[in-house]
Amino acid sequence: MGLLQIGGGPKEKCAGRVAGIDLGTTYSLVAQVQDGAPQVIRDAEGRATLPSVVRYSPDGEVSVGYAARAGAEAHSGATIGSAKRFMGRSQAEAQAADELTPYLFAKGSDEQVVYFQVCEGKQVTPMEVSAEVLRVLKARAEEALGGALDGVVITVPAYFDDAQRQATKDAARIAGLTVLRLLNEPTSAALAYGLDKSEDGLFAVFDMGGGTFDISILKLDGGVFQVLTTGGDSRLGGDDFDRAVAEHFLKEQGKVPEECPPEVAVRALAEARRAKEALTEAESTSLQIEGQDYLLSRAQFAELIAPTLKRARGPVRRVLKDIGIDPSELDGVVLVGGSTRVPAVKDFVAKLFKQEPRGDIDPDQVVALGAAVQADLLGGNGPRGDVLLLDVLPLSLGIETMGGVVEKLLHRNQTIPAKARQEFTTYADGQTGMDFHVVQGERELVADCRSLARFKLSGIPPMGAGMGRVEVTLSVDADGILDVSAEETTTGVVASVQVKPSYGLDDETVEKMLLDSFKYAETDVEQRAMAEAKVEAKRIINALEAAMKDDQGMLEPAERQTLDKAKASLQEAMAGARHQLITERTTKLDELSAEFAVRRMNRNISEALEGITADKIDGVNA
Amino acid sequence: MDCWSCGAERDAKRFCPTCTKIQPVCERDSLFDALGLKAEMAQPKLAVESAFREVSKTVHPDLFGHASSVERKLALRATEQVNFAYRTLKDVRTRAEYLMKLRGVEVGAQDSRTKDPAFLMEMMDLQEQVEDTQDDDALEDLQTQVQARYDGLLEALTRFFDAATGTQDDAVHALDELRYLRRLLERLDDKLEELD
Repeated sequence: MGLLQIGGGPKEKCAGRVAGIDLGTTYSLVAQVQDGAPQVIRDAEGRATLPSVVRYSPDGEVSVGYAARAGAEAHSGATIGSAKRFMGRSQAEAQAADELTPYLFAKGSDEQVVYFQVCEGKQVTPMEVSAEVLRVLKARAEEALGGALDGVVITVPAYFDDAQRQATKDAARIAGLTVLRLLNEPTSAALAYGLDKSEDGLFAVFDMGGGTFDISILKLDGGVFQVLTTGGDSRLGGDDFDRAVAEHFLKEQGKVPEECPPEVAVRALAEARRAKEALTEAESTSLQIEGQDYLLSRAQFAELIAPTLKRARGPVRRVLKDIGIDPSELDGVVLVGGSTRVPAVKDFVAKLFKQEPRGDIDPDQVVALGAAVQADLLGGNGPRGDVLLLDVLPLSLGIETMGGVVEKLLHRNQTIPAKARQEFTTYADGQTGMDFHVVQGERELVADCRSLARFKLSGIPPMGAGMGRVEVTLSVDADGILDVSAEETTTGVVASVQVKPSYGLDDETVEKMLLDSFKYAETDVEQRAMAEAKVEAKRIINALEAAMKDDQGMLEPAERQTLDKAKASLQEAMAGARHQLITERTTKLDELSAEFAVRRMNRNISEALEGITADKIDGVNA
Repeated sequence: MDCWSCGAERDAKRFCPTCTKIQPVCERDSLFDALGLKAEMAQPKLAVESAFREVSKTVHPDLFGHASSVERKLALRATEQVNFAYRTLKDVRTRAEYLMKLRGVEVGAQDSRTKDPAFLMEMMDLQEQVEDTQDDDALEDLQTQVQARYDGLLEALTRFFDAATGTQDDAVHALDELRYLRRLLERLDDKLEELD
């Protein structure tokens, strides 16, 4: 450690190791704040994105990302992409959409959870698939940060409901991550964008990714990012464009898309995606569907996706109406998400908002960058005081009353955290229990909303009808996640409440999934040790290189040779897989350079006496 | 009143003047107090919004990430109250309902709802008119009419609360009527959207 101590004391802040994760439908990213600015953490090949694709091989091996995607067409059933679309959804919902699908679904043990059949005898839930993606990002961040993560901020579509948010948290738990916050994607993008541009005003964020669409309007005012309204569709995105194209050409061949086997679907969808991406630059492109070649022009593509894109119009109109403004009053429209690269989408946004949208920050990265900033505020360097996010509830929460009507207790666009209470009275003499049903949605009737939880309050002391009063409290935390409690108030008896979520992996199931992934635990420890060893090695090498550059003259040629040799052998160890060897050679290099360090220190002291400040020296070595 | 943390006198303030720690929400405080506003109908343009943002900058739980669990909990409670105050007071109609609640009358509660048959008939007529109209222009005319009536009632309520003009019974009735008119306006909006 000799070289690092020259010329100054320790200047490390004691900040937690935190990161921001954009867990996307098609791509995922992880970012961190470094020297005050958010940066995406890249993989060993320098790639920022990780395809949210997981392949399960029959021999039990699991691959994630580019490797998994590359083999997708050869092993369809075992490759799962777009798991995000199934998070928090029931089997009935997953299969209701009668469409071209590359998945093999399985029955599983719980109708409320989707199961993918990945190989013989192996089924996985969307939460486990997402956890595989998270695990890779976790390892990537831990290598970059040089140690175990203390917490992460994970982004979710603003329009995600309670079940989808819960599912995301479950995935994080399975991956062994501590979630500091679930952050809404458009809010995250606005945070990154707003901090970068330091511009106040009213902004719309149009966020269209692979599978989800969000539209939020925010007010940026002196570091406060206040979401005024949010809307969207949690099943609308670039995947649907691919499907529209694939289905079109399959139909041209006389095929019925929803009856095509998964392997045909996988091939056709991959080809459609390639064509879509090509059309961002090119005016036309060729594609091959089931052995036949076709030419697709940009105009034809725009026509094919128009019906899908049109579905974004309703949510946009609604948010504008919510705050009663004309689109021309907006100070800017920010594009987020890979699908906004499609020229037809840009045109659509320009027309809808009557202004040219901005896309000067990479739409693929901006969400992860904002998440890194929020992670830093929450768990890293602590609150800055000059930046604050105020977000809202995307969908109203209510309780079923007589006749299947919803009584809304918390309303959409209400700032969170929020809490509301409502009193209910007993309707029969001697009634000792009361049933409650919590739902989420905007419609008046329970049947049109999403069921979140049912519970029974029992142990109410027998009284006349209307005498027993039960107070139900709904509270939503900053993650947008609901908590329910109930209490009998007349007698002061606190009765028991059992909330049975309609969706949800119960704690036991999550524990089991964690156990299932125990085999990863060992590799996790290995990876962590490896990451820490590499960071330490890099630190020593960097310091030595800087010192050698500055003070070449202080070394005899032989000394220099010895140091170079030790450095090279350390670098060799770093390319290998044994962290013990890295640590060993790091120590060796550190010892060998100790003499050089002492010489430099003595020189520095004499320079300092001549008036050269310690700051300058510090700057050289840091 | 003493600070929970240092024990010093704190005068119902949100932060202890001695140790600066956040204090529990005071049950006696009104929602106007929560945002530091006067309990009046008329509020300067954007006053509620900026008060909300200013208070949020001091109590939001995100600012207490490194504080003790007691402080985090107090910050959460304070923020829930501030968020509720913002929601209640930013809309003029719900602001008026809240002012009436401070006077002891809860609008919309079972026993306070108007039973005046002539008024209820009129509201039903209006509702039918909205349902039966299919023409864009006619719907817009109706919207203008209903909106004017809505705004007129709010002005009357402002005079009642801020200048003590008129009776409380009339004010309660006006608040009831506003609830019907608001639903009507929402329905009109939806219908216009459908025709669009």
